[in-house]
Amino acid sequence: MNCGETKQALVDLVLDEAGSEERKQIEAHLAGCAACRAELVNLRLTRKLLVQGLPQEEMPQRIAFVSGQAAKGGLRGWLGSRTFAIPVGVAVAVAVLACGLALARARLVIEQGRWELAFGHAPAATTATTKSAPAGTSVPLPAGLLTREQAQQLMAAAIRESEQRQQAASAARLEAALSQLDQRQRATLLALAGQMRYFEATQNVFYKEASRTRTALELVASRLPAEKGDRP
Amino acid sequence: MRGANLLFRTVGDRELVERAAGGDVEGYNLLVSRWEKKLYNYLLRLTGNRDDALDLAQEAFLKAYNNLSRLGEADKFPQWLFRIAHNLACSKFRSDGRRPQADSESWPEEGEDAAPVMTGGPLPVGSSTRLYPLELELLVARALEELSADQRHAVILKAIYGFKFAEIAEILDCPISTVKSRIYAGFEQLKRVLGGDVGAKAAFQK
Ligand SMILES: [Zn+2]
Repeated sequence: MNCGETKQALVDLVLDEAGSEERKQIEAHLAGCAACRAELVNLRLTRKLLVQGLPQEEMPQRIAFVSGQAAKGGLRGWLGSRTFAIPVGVAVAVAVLACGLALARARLVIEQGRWELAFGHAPAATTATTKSAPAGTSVPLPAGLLTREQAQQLMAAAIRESEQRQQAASAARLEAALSQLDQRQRATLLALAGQMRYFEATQNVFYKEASRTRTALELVASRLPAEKGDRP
Repeated sequence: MRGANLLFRTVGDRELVERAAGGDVEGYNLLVSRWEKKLYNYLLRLTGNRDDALDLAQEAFLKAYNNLSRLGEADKFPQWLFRIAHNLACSKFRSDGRRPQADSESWPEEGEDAAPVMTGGPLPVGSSTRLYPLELELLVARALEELSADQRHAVILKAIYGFKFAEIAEILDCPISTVKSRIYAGFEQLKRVLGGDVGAKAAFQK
């Protein structure tokens, strides 16, 4: 094998498509070729990062077929009955809770040098002059261009505030959901557990989105001027 | 270890497929629980929408169940299932007349739910001295967006789900040679983004 052939074969190797004969030939070539060894490192890195950069999400809901008579009729009526056997109250409570979390996304709007940091759904059309009130509270902003430090403090405070508000709201809704469970039979526990998995997954998504926003904000902050016009 | 997993997967699937084909719904549920998360996430990449992904996954499992008798070789259940799902997703977007927001689910389009920060130009990843895991997700998403949809699907089926070239050819209903050229070209392009200095930076984070 020469370098050209090996380069192609290395992709197969990294993608688990190389046969044992091909592997032997690759090994033989790699033993005497630093360039192809470096290429292999590069290819492995690419796959590793691809996998790490595409994390697999939990499902919002597990899929299950109902057994018994349904099997014969081609499982008709199964679609659309995802919450089968789950008490409506609990399902609704959990759904409300999940929605609350989804609403908590932080939003940062930058327009013409103006900043708006808000939480909740964005107004349909955001303009720099008319700020319709978002679901959460906005953090008051100093006029003019922010310093990097100010921006970071502002973001940190706003995110912290939103998270605290969310945590309190989540706890209250969760308690409501659980109190309903008390009135039900134990048989519903299992179904609830399924719903709670969704709740957890939603929380994770929320966390991820919050972290993403924070990362994005940090990146933006890092591009702001370090000082505010004080320099000569 | 990987080989052992694949062996387990194949043997286990076959048994469950046979049970399900014989009318054992619980057997099918086991099969579903084994593949649902993978299928859901693949559909999520295709559609960019969690509700659509879940609906399509359900639809695919239902369709697969109803057609189990047509599945010649039980071993081929995974690629057969993914093929059903892939086709359902494609025809859904054809009939809806909307464009799948493939791979951008975590970064919605401008004007929707997007953080406007993210809509302007490439992220200045290189400007940071460290590459955070979240930056990596962004980087990968952006790198994948650069590929054609065909390349992207093939690369994901290969690199993330570990399907063989021949299996991917069955899923995407095209010749193996086509699958290979899509994956080689796509992976080469990804390597240029992920394999360079940026990639090394991310790797040293771990
Ligand atoms: Zn070489």
